[in-house]
Order: sequence, then structure tokens, then C-alpha cells
Amino acid sequence: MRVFVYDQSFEGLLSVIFDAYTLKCFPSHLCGRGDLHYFAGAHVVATRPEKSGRVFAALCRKLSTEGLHNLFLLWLAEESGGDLLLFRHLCKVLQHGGIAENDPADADALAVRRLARKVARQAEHYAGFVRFQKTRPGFVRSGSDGVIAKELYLAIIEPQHNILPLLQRHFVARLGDQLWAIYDAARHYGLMAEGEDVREIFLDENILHHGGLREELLAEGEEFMQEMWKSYFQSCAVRERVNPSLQKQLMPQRYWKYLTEKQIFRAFQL
Amino acid sequence: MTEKTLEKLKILAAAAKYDVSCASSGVSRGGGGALGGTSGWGVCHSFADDGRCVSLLKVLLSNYCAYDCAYCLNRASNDTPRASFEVEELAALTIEFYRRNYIEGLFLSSGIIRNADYTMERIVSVLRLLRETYGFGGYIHAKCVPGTGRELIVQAGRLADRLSVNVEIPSAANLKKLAPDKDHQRIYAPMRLIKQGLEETSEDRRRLAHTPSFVPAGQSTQLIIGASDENDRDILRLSSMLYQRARLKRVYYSGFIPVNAYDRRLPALAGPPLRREHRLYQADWLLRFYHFEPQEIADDTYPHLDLNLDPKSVWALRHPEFFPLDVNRADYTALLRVPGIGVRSAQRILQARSCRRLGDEHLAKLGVVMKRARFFLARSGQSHMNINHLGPEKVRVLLMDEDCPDKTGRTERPTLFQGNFRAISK
Ligand code: SF4
Repeated sequence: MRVFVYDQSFEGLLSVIFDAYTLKCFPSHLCGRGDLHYFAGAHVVATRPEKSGRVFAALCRKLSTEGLHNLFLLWLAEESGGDLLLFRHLCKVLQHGGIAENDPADADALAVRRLARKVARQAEHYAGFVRFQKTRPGFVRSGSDGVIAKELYLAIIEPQHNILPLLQRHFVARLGDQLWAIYDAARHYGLMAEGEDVREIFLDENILHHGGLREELLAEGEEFMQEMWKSYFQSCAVRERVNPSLQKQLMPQRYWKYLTEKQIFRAFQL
Repeated sequence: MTEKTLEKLKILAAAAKYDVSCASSGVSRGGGGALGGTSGWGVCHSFADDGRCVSLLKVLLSNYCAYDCAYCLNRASNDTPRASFEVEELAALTIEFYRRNYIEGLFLSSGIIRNADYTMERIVSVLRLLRETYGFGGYIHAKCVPGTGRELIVQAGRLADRLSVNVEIPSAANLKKLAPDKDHQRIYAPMRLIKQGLEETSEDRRRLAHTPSFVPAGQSTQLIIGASDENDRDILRLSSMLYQRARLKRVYYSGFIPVNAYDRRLPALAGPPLRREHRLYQADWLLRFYHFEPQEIADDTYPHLDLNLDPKSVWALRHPEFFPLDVNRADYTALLRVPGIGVRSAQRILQARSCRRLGDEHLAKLGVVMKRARFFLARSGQSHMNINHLGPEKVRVLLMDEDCPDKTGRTERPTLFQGNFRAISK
């Protein structure tokens, strides 16, 4: 068992590849600095830009645009063992060139495509399933403790994969004239944007409540608008065709937690 | 916005829900507005209790109607709750929903208020307010009521992403019978005007740098299935003509939901013909993506689609002489004829076979559904499994086992509404 220890960053993984080629030793396990029990006899990879840069340049030459994008998606997958899969796949790409990307006989190439597709699909899902709630004025404060008058449209998500970076461009293009933020409650970070200006944010998660923000933080009229949406959602289904299992198949329940239209138990009070 | 808006919304959303042609297609609007844009891939924002994709705010501007179509809940002679949105009210509601990412845009239709022109003018006012005052760049699909004239079509076309004139009843005679206020002439005339507008725009585009867009997502229509007695052959022939001559982007099929049971002109149905609708969508796919001609799917000998098996398998069973195919040699259109091979897997096969000879072990990985395809492919050592050995009858039974929707506990269309949606976003 050959173990490489690295810092679990993307540059770190590229440095792992660099070291593997320099030492002519290919690890069968990768682990992070925290996994101490592997330390004995393991090779510790130092993350260095000159290593990762060279590997990345080589990959850029060999991979197709789609292949490069898949690399990014795989990294966002945050699936256990994903790094080792990526490592094996990239070594093959470096050895055999772009043809290794689509080799139908190669289980790793297939797994890479599968996982990349899964992440991309989840991002697509969230592009639709994100629900913004309008907060009361003064909810956002700027750095110097000044109160921003503009209302923030805030959405909470808890995705399996780290898809927030994939959503950014979509919503920047779409919600150009409003202040919005999407917060990943599973990873405890969010993005806030006004126009093209995007910042990373952190929230005090005590303000969260099942289904989104606590009521007292919502803008006036927000609950009414949510009620409108719920009524629309109820009215647009055709009774003769009701099909809950199809609904669940297309919109799995793990998404429901923050879907406004699925918050039926939160009684509406005018 | 008040409680009253909420009441209107309930009525006017319920009144619009039977129109199924609601897939926001993936168009990229040049420029867009301050708010919104259509991003290139259609987005489902939710799935309603009937499993349909909720993408657009689909409402009627008004469900007061001067016409009296037999198949419609909103017909003039029905005693049903009525409401109308104010132009401003509906535009504001659309914006509010859009800002919260509930929707991708607006799907607007209306009952006939006074007359066709007045109705269409109101629809155009909503569109104009959204685009010009609110700077809304999201998706808009508007209906054109039968009999809309040139001027209003041009205005609507500049503002909307997609326009549609619903044919509803496939044959002229049945339309006259069920919807005495409508006729085919008044439906096909606006359809032609939209087509003209599209052609002129694409011509201008060649000559001029800045041509205002005109229904960039094209036009579509809807056919009601089972309210009248046209068979599938007639329907597919009509669809194919609409695709080829009127250059429609989509034809939607809506299984007739038995409303107005008191009207003796309508057939007595226990429920909507969902299975037939499902088969028609599959047949429609064959027309659009699989290079099938309508008469290959349903002809004078077989005027009805087989409800128990998908139309592609049915074709294959009727043409055993076409098989078995060798995946390493067959050309693209031939591959598309194999049950279990879709557009994507056919393309992948072409790609993959350029680097190696493909065997069974590769096909499944390329997305081929071997359970279905195995009867139609030449596979070494497996000739006892192919259709010419087993015979079409035996294969049919084996395929039906796979196809039976009741077996999986699901009813109808596991993939279709999803499919509709994806298909246009290509
Ligand atoms: S025109 Fe006919 S189909 Fe349309 S709303 Fe009126 S009655 Fe219904």
C-alpha cells in the first residue's frame, strides 16, 4: 500500500501527480494531513505552484474542453475517493493523451464522466430549485457597519456536492438588478452578488429555521408572496393526473427542505 | 397586491392548467434586460403534484370567454368562477415570482374578451409592460388567439420568445362541430403570419447588423387527443405537416380531460387517454429526431398506435428484414432504428467505434439498453437471440415485459415531460 499525504486542495492533487511521476511511485491511497494514522511510511506531498502549474499545463494540452470542465466538476463533487479516481484518470490522460478520456473499456474514465454528469445535473437542478426569500431592510450590513438599505434576496441550499460555484454565473446573468445571496448551509459559506460584484459570505446560522429564514427577518409582504406561490403551485396541477411518485422521482425529497411550495406546515398568518 | 390578486391567481392558474405546451425552451436572447435572461438551457423550477415541470407562470389573462368550445371549462355557457387580471397586476406578479426564482418566465393565454383583437391587444400590453417598463429579459410564451391580424402578430412577436396558435381539434370538420366560433382558416392564418415574420427576420439578419428579434424560440401548437375521432395516422400526418410546412418547433399533445360531460358531442371517457398521449409523444420524437416518416409509424393498415409498445419497437417488429444490425458498421440513421439505442447512444457508438471494435461489454457503457437492443443486433455467438431467429411475436412479448408501465407501479411517461423539456434545450 503506497500512501501519499497531501493538503486536499486542487493544487495539492496536481502536486501529487507531479511527485508520483518524479518518484516513479504511484500511490494506491491518498489522504489528508488530518488522517494521522497513515503518517508512518507515507510520502508527504508539498503543494507547490511550480509543480501544479506544470501538471496543469500538460493537462490543458491533452484534455478536451469538456475533459477540463469535468476535472472541475469532479473536484466540486467532494465525494470520498474522488481524488484518487481523478488521480488515476489524470495519470492515464498524461500517458495516453486525450483518447483515454473516452475509452469505453476504461472503468475510471467512465466513473469520471458519471460523477461529472451527476454534479452538473445537481447544479442544473438547483438552478431551478433555489428559492429566494426577501429579507427586511437592514438585514445586510456592509463592512464598516453601515446598513445597506436594499433588501437582500437570500436563498439557502444544502447540496450534496459543492455546486455553488457552478450557480454563480447563472444567477449573475439573471438577477442583475437585485442584491442576492445563496448560502450553502452544508458547507457553511455563501455567495452574495450585486450586479457583477460577487463576494463570499458567512451567516450566523441561528437565523435559519426549517424551510429558510426566521419570519421576523423577512420583508413585509414576503410571506404573502410565498403564499401566492404556494397557491399557484396547488392550482396548476391537474387533478386527473396526480402522480406523487413521479413528482418525487423528478424532484427528490432531499430538495424539499427549502422549497417554498413544500412548506405546507408553516401556517400562514396575515 | 392584495387578497384579491390571490383569488384571481387561483382561478386563472386553474383555468390555464390544461394547456400542456409549457416548456421554456433554451434560447439565448441577445441583450436581455436589466432583470432576467434565458440562459441557454431550460430550467424546471418545480414539479407539480401531477409530475409536470413547472417552469413558467402559466395563467390566463382572463377566463371570461365569448366563445363556447365544447371541450373547454371556460366556455361561455359554463357556470364557473371568473376573473381577469389587470395588465399591471399580472406584470408585477410575474416580476415578483421571477425575483424569487420561482419561475423562468410567463406563459400567457386568455379567454376571448369581447373579440379576438381586443384580447390580443391586452396580451400584448402585458408583454410590453414587462419588457419595456420592467426591463424583463426572462422567457415569455404567449398565445395568439385565432383570427389575430398581422399588426398584432408583429408586435407580439417582437416581445415574446415563443408564440403559439392552438389547433386543438385536428380536423376542420370536428373543429367546426366542437368549437363553432373557430375555424381552421382563422387558426392557420396567424400561424402563417408568424412563420412569415420568422422568415423575414432571418433574411434581414443576413443583411442588417441589428435586427430586432422575432419569436426567437419559434412557434408551437397543441392538439387535443381523444375529444374527437381522428386516428393516430391523421394526427401524425398533421404534425409532420406542421413541422415541415409551417416550420413549428413543437407540437404538443394533450389527452382530453373529460370536462363538460353534459355535452353530447363529446365522447364519454373514463379518464384522459394518457397512454395514447404518451405514445404520440414517442411517435413525435421519431419524427423529429429519428428520421422517421409519419406513414412509417401509422398508415392505412395500422391507423392506430400500439398502446402496449413504443412505436419504434413496433416498427422494428414489422421490419425484421432490416435486422440484425452490426453496430460496428451500420450508419447513424440505421442505428437510430434499433430499439434501445437513442440519439445519444448512437452518437457515442460512432465516436467510440473509431478507436476500437465494439463488443457487448462496451454497448451498455455507451448507454445502449441491451435488454431491448439485444434482439436487433448482430452479436457473435448470440444469433439465437435475434429477431429473425425468435420471430417478431416472441420478441414482442419479451419487449412488452420491459415496457409495461403498470409493472413498475408508475403510470405513464416516466421520462416524457422531462424529455420534452430537455429536447428543446438542445
Ligand atoms: S376560446 Fe374556446 S377554448 Fe378558448 S377559452 Fe374560450 S371557450 Fe375555452
